[in-house]
Amino acid sequence: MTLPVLQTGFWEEPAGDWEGEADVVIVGSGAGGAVAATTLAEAGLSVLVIEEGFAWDPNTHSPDTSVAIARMFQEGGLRTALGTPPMPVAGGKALGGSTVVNSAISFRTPESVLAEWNELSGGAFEDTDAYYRAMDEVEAVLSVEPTPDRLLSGYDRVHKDAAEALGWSNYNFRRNTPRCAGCGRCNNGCPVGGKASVDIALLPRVAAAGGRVVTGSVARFVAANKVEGVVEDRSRNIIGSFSVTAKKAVILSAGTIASPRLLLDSDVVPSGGEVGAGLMVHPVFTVLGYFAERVVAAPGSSQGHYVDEFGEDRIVLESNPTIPGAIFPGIPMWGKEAWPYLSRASNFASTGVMVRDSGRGRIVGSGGAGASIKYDLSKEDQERAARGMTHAAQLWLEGGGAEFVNLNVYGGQECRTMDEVRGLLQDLPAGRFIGYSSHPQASCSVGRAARQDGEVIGADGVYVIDASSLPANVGRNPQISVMSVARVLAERVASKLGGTVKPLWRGAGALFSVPQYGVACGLHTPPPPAVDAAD
Amino acid sequence: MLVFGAATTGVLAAAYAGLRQVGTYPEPGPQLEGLSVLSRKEVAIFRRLGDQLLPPGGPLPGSGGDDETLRRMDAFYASMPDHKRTLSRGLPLAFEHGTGLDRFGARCFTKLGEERCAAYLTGWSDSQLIVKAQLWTALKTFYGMTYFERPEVLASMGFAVPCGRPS
Repeated sequence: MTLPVLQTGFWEEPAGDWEGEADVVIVGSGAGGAVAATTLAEAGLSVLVIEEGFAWDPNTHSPDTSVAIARMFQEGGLRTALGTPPMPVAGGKALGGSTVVNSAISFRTPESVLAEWNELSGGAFEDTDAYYRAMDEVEAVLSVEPTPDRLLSGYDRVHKDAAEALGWSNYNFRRNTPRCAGCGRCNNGCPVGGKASVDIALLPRVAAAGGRVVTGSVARFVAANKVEGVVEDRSRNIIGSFSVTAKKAVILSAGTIASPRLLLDSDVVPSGGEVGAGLMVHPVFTVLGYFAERVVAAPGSSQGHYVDEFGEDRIVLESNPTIPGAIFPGIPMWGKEAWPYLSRASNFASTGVMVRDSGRGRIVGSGGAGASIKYDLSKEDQERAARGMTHAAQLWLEGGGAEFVNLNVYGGQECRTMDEVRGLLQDLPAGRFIGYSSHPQASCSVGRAARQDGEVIGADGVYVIDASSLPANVGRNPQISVMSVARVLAERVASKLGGTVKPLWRGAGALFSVPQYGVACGLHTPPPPAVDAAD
Repeated sequence: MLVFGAATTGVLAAAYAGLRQVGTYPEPGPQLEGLSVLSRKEVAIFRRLGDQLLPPGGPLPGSGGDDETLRRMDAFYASMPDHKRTLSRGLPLAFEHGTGLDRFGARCFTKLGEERCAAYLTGWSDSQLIVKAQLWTALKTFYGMTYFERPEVLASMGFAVPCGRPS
């Protein structure tokens, strides 16, 4: 392989054309790709990981959300599913994929979901012991622990107190943040290196096992034995091309949207089939509560608390960070009328109503301009979203004593009573819900579009191992589930290709080491507002 | 004949409205230095929109239409992938020329007087038309990504300076 290198850690950032060859070529370095690459490299196969994004660390992360989103999110954070309603679909684009920009929330796969997956996949998860072993290993590698109360932010605490007041089942999130300093900036890339994202926890092991990890390389064409694409610099200028040969397999771990898009764009499979079908987006609908007192006074984790009272109805309420830039579009006021509320933006708390959707969408080819995602909110999910938003409003108004709530719907207004909330949501058309998705899943499901080891049906030698592989929505933040499924599938691929699978978790002596960046940070009290609102 | 007459009238009316729109297109002021994407016309539209949405003189520093916000808007556009940038450039134009579809007739948004300007935007914010509501929310989101990223704005709202930000 000839590879001019600009910057080198354990990864390589090419400065122009490059070529390569490996037993297994893996496209994508996120939750699925990192696990697959580690499993296969440590099983003795030569592995080459191609990542379109770049490596970032606390020395290079930007505190500006807009910059972070532009750098580290798919399509500059503007990727959108077309349908009713149109919905932003977030996804990471960095070495480590979405694990670099998620909130580190680490749910185990619910038993009932695993049983459902097994049924939908025709028995791919029959060996539950193997799955739970994989999940235990993943959690150990990522140092998943419950968020301690001291790391709950002000808005987490309001969320928790309101749930407690209502007697609702509620918990602190389990998270993979062994050195969390409470900055509340997980989604910009952790500024202190406190999160065990896979660029820290796993990908160095790929290099240590003799694998190669190459960034800035955007796959445009895949086949059973090759991957081709273009090389970009950090300003997204195309500076070259690449072509790599896979001697044994190509694994797509580019995410729920990009993996099927690559297959369809490359004509590996015909459009209109199972690849790309079955997309679930795990939509979120936000409800803001406005309080008499500041709720952001205490910093802490970006998301630390959730309400599980409505889990059987496929609804979870998750404490969301209070972000001023998100509050402005979330309230109906603007101009001078908005002044009192904006100057007291730290009085807002936010909860995300996460709906385990039952409806399905589809990924179609891109035509070179980003994936085309089709997704309509089903009637059932729409009703569930309305129920969830009603619960969220109750959390703030009755549990937390909020002065009013803002339901994030088009044409919404502030509601001061539950009757107003119910009136607003009654018969609300699907197009007026403002939802977003951070957890697209199941677009190339095992058992539906792929065999039980992830090999795409009708495309021998090409595998998909990422969130696409899930047979259905987890209904929870899916990081741990995606990595556990990836481990199970990668073990099967490794065995099939003649490798010898090694444990993912190497025991306490092998705890990953988070670099110490020495960034002045930590739990601190922000200053009060400089200007009190003029009502 | 009646149909022909009606069609001709429609075409002439549309042509007149179009000419008025073009004729009243904003006379852009001097371009801000250091911008890489936004044209002078786009800057003029965003300035007017920003000063309406986040007017100066309130409890928060600056405004949605001041130079700093516009520079951040330019940087936001520059950060977009090409196809999204092309699409997003339609946003200010929708507001600029949306007057043609409203009761404000054939005068561009940036040429409306203060009172009519506010009334025009109220029409957007209160609209029950989903497409208009979506564009309005998108516009507010764009200012959310720019004005509300300013450190002095965040500080004045009582938000901590994010960890890692150079002091």
